[in-house]
Amino acid sequence: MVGSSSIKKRKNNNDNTSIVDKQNVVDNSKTNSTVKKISEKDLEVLKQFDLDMTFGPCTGIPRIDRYERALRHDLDPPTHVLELINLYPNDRQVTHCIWRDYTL
Amino acid sequence: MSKSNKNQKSITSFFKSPAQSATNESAAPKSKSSPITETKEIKNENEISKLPSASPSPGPAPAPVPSANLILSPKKPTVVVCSSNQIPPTYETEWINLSDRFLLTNRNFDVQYAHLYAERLGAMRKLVMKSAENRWNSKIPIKKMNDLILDEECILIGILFKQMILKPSIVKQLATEHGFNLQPPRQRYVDSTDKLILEEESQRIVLDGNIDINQFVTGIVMAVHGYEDDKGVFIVKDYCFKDLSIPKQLSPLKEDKFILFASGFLLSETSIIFNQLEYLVNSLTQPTNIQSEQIKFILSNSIRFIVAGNLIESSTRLKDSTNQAKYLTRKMTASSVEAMHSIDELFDKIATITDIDIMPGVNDPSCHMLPQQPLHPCMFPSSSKRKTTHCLTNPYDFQIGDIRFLGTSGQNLDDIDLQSTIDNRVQILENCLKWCAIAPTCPDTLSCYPYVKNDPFIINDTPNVFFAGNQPKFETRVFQGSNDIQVRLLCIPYFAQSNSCIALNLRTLECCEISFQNEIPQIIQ
Repeated sequence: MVGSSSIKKRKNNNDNTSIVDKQNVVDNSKTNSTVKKISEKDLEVLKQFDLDMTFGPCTGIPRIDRYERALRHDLDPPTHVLELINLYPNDRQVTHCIWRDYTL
Repeated sequence: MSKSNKNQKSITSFFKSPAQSATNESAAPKSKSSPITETKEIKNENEISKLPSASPSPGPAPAPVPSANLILSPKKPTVVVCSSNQIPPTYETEWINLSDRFLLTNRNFDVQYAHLYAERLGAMRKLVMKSAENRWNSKIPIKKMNDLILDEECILIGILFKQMILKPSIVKQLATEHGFNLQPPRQRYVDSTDKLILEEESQRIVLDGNIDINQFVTGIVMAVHGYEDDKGVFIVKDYCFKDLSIPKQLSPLKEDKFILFASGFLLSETSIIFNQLEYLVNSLTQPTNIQSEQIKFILSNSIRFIVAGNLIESSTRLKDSTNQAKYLTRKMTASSVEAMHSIDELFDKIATITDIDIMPGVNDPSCHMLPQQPLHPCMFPSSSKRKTTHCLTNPYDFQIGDIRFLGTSGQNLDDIDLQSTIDNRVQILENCLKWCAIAPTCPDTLSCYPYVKNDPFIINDTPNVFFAGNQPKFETRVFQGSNDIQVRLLCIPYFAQSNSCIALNLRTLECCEISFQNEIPQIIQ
């Protein structure tokens, strides 16, 4: 009886979904602000900020740098973007642009 | 958006010599305005690294940003971003170094050059808009390119790009078989098929009409007044650039004091100018022996000696020895070592009597990219021990008393000369001043560091003297701008060719050329 339950546990560990849960658990212990994952709607807002050409090129620099540049040149960037960047400071999906995984 | 005072450096540059860091600290309490974001970034850097700051933060805390708190990128700032505004001097001929924006504290090459162009356009756009409104009827609308209507008179603001088929391109080179050059190196890349294109953030348009293509280069921010025709080309009626800021009113000095400029010693094993250098040093160290009263007066009242680059010859940079096997080259010393040694002896003698400023040039052992970082003081073992030796950046921005100087070692002029048909070097200097850009062709054809947060090559404060070293001959002119702006433009010749230095009188801002070709120095009329 004991043996079969331990096998079951091992099987659960091999399941792929548990890895994602483990990652979320690690995140929660490191930071207080990344309580939940960012919503799709907010990610879309960030993506539109990246693709908006009035604020200049987006590749290679963190979103906050681009936001600061937009402020410096009086281009009126949306404040919602700034709030999102500050809410998730450790989430690379938020801090860096949509081309973050591609090299120069 | 409110502005605030800037905090100063928290990381000392690796290349800063002790003399230079001392003068930088004295220049630390700069008061003027600056964008709030950069201040916060440097403050954040202070929290993260535990290094003691080089100078205490003088200003008040920055005012809060609207809405959320800015959490700043924790990366090291690339550049010590501080205000380059003029500081009132404590005495009449005080030297104040304002070149901090050219010092690089961090090197990040993971970014593209597009950010530098975006920064340049963004920073200059409002100022160009203001000068466009002043120059042309304010009823003419200033438009963005996507709002253009056919045949409607309007004003566009953008950054210029010059399309040249003869410009050497790595893509063309790779496209040919075996990768050899399509054409031999030319003196000028100008061709009759060149086109000028005005670019904005998202669009570009070809320019034609009342604009001479050969007088322009890539990288100039300008406003054009005209209309779009049915072929999609913008026909230019008139154009303008950012207005020059009005420099501070100069109160003339009580006595005549002189600054000596020299450049292009081009020392190597095959140099023949050692005698002339000897005459130069003897004249400076023992001016009483000179017979000419005028030269004696000039040399004994010189307060500074500025060397504008190219201390050694470019042949000392040949890579033949580095391509050979190590056992063959073990006993050989690079010829640049010998050349730097002789330069050091020369500067040591000059440094005994006057302050000497050393700027790197294109041949010198500093980085190739603009802004060139100061030469390391270890290359000047004897002269760097003296407090009067200063190693500086290229370009170099400083003030002596109330007079503001700005200059380079000449690479910017040489590059513009390649890309345009402007014949006169002083005219190129004047154009750079009118375009408010020290080196507009950076980074297109002149290699430059990929800045993101600022463009240090924009001329925000009009200098009183604008110089460039390593030019074919001595030329000077006074540029008369609007609002009574007067700028002394100065082209300094190669010492290796002309054997002469330029003396600038600080009281009258007039220059004369002193030749050291013979043992007796002469003024060349």
